Amino acid sequence: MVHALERVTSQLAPGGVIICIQPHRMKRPFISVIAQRRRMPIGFLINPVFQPLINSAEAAIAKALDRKLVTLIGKENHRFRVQLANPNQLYRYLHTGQRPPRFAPGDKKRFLQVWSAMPKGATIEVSEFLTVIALRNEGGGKGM
Amino acid sequence: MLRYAFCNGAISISSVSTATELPSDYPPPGMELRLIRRFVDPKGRRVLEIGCGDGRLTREYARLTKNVLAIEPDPASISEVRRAFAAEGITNVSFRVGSAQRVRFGGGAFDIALFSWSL
Repeated sequence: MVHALERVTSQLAPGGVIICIQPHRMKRPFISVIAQRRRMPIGFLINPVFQPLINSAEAAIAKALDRKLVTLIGKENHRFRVQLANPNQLYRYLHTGQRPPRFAPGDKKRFLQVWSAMPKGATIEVSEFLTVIALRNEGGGKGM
Repeated sequence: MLRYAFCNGAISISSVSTATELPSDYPPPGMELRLIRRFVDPKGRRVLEIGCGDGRLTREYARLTKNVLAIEPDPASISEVRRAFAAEGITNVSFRVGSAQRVRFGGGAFDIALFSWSL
């Protein structure tokens, strides 16, 4: 990631902008069950494989900033929510990526208990958290 | 179906699926472009996208830009997205198979570089 960022910066025009959209550093997907306008929180999912990748990406950005290859324009956290019809759909949703997250110990059992007690029409909500980091190349890249 | 709301200055978006369709685990269509535009307008710019995958995001902004160089390590994805873009008449996007560390970027300088979910 460090080399990728360095190489990309070298290809930017002076004043060019790098935008990184990536998972939030700390907030993993959060599962809730929604029924009759009530949200029942279950818990954050865990994904131990993913955390080192996020750390590595953020370290690469910090290094590029330290070396003054780029300056930070802004960093924002956002979220989006996905509503799913049933646990089978949740399972398929979680396994669309190469590194699927999983429930924390005890949460899956609790989720299934909560779900089985829900009336018809209940949905499962996944809140996903992301970070946008914008950097500017202050020079040293390619000329216009 | 998408629902949009602003919470504490941040964009919060909900996508609601039916029982049969499986929603993507990427942000809903349009969200990433709106987030990019909070910092830079891609209109008329030369864009380098690292890790374009199936062209999901590229498709959203390509027509606004002057041109795009999209890089992806998976040859099958590139092959498929090339065909799809040709069929859709998106002609200002070039694709390269490879990683940001190794691929040849060509001679031009870019105004915007995007790393979208390409850790």
